[in-house]
Amino acid sequence: MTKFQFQGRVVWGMDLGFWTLFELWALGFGLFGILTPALILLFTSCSRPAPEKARIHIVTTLGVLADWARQVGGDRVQVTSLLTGLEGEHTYEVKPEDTRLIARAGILFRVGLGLEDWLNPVIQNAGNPRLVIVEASANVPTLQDANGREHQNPLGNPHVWLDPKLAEIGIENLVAALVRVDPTGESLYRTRARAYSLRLDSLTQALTALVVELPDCRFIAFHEAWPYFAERFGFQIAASVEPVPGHEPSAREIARLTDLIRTQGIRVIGSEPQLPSDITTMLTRETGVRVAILTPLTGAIHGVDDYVSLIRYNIETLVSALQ
Amino acid sequence: MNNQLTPEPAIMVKTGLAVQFRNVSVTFPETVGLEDVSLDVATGEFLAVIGPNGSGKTTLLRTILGLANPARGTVTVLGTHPAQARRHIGYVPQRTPFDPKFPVSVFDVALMGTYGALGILHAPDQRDKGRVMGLLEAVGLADVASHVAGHLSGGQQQRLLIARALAAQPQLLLLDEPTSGVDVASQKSIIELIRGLHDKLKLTTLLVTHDINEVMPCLDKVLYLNRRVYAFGTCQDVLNRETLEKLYQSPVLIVEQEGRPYVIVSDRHV
Amino acid sequence: MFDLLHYGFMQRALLGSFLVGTVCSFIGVYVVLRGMAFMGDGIAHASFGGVTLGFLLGINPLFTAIVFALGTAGLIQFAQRRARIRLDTAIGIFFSFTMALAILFIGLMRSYDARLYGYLFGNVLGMSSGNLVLTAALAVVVTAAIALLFKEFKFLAFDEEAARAAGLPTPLLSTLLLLLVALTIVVSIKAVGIILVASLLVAPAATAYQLTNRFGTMFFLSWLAGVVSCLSGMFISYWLNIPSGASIVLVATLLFALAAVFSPKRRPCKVCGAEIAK
Repeated sequence: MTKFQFQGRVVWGMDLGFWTLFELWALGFGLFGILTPALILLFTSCSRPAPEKARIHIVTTLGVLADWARQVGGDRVQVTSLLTGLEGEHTYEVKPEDTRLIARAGILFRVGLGLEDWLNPVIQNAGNPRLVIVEASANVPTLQDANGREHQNPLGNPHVWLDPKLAEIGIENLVAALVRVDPTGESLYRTRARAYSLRLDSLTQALTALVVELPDCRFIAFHEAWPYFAERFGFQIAASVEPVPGHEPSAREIARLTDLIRTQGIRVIGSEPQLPSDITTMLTRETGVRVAILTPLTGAIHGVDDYVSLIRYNIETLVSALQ
Repeated sequence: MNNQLTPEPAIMVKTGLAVQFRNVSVTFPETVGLEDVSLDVATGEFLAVIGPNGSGKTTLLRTILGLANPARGTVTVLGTHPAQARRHIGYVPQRTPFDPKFPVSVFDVALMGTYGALGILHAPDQRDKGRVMGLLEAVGLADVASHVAGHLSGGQQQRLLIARALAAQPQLLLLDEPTSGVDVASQKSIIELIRGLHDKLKLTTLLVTHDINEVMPCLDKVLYLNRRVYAFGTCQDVLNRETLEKLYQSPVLIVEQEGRPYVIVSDRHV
Repeated sequence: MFDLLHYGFMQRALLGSFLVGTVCSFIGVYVVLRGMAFMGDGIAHASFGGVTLGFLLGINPLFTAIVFALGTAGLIQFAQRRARIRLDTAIGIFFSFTMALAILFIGLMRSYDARLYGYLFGNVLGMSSGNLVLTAALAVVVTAAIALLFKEFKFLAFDEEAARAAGLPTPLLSTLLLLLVALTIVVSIKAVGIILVASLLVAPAATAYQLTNRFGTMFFLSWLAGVVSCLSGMFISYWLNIPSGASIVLVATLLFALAAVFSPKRRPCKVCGAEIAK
């Protein structure tokens, strides 16, 4: 093999000599490392559209709340949601544009009960003294986690929106705020809210009928998002894989889950697209338990973009897994 | 001395010259190593390379090994390119003390000398190991063969390096200041050992030193080096006051002591 | 107590950590003898850059981790040999460079993926059969390379200059050793995580170094220390319900401490009476 040598020549302080293929490749890798961030930054800068002036700007944390706000407010509101549905509601990381949105919002509609504590610094920094903050969980009777274990927030588990009856209370809270901010629209808001509530009632009735027919309605939830959902529709949560979201179970806990599945005959385990994990796949392979992909948020699964679809999707998925 | 020490000639040396330099210059980014050096060493000769510190003596040896590349000139070693000749050269580098905690024995280190010639996938066999043991006997380290190499004294480590260099059955032996860092009593015995080996094995030997008196009485050829060649030739030609004074740039006195010439350089320790 | 061996995930975790302990302890001998501990840590952190890129792009993160580990090892060597930058400076620079890339990639992710935590701190319980096969294959490759080039690496570690002068292709061997270290690190990330893998690379071999003066024995003792650390670490993590990566490294460190205290090397040499200077 011929070798091309730059005998003792030094260029820019570098001693050039015979270059191995490996060195060339490493250099290429280094250049890639410098170019990639630049290219990525070029291609990912995108901004959300600025809201129009005439409507009331409502900023919500979850897509579900945004859907409620649109249902109630119609053309009189312009709604933006911070989460797209692919992020976890506990682990969401605030982006710089979120501060801008809050600064220009008329109403902030959030769940409360400590779920969106990550938003507090943003609200402080946004400098919007006329912002009206509405909580979907206000006046809602709360539950602790499944199996009575106390949720991280002693006030209760925040996943209240997954129970359509409790959703109606949240909607009422929003209507009250809208009426305060925009009294001229009161009749519109109340009419629309009432219509939507009726829709939710009939939905709940229809879906509960599906669940009643199940011989066995027990499942293992992925994280503690489902107590209200289970309570309303008649499911039973046997255990949770990740009681603390983002915190993977230890060997003992995995063994416990395995035992539970085997001895108690639990047939379904939930997984959530916002919290990817290898543990569910592993448990499936180990015990043959079925996986039901459930989502507590809209926007994560194709076709599940509004609240009604969300509830319907979760019920139908869980019911078919439990057949 | 037993047959195990006789090197087997693996390369046909065509011209009878073990080492040949023609106008060789070696440059480094910051300094000049060698400048226009020409020399010949015939097979079986003993060449002493003398020069002060920093005169390029180590560079000369490295060029012979192909570890330094000449910017100008040609180098022929054992009839071929230095890099090809490398596994037939025994190199005793300037000694740096072994790590006393490194887990190798004296025998292990000597055996390492055979690795270059053996190549990958070939482990040393009983014959190789017997030969290495014989070498350790020849250098006087047989009784410490299983000791940790790093525990040896300076003189003993130097002998071990010599044994390691010979383990490869070389046709050319290069020694870089083999007495540096060694106590005075051992210095003499090491030089005697080297001369004895050269005598018995008829091995082409280059010995580099800054002290000319080490290589007295003189054998074969001498090279005075200080980046350039100040003198190169047989002992008679070179070992005289005028040449030495030009090399050291100082008054020089040659004295006879017990039939042996002794060089004294005034106002500078050699 | 031993009923935990009935679970498939536990069997895989034990086998996986056994393999990781084995290969780390073998390569670790060279890491300790050639003073490559910082290099090992640098490569481990560089792999994190690869892992995050894999998550961002939806590719298997171990694959991108290998690319980053090898690439960074190559860049460090390039800087050292060509640009004549001091080794620890080169490591420090590329270590932080790849960590910065990692943070950038995390920032570009839509949301925090909990599995990243597993790569940082170890997630041996999540080892699938596929992971296990990959780990076993890499363990075989690394062990075979060490076995085939045993004497060459020995000479390289003891005296690189003399090895080169004797005719061994030392630049090639040195690069190959570096690549083996990088591969070992990436394979071990699943078991102990990026933050701790450098200790699993160093501690068992350092333990052996304290206890023996023979080269071959050092490999055996290192392997023993590595495997004992991994297996007992796994059992302890189950009993005490603590993370497995941490318990493995704590056991390994304890073994080292014991070896250092009772080390026969700290006393004068019985045979030759030499006092150990260092």
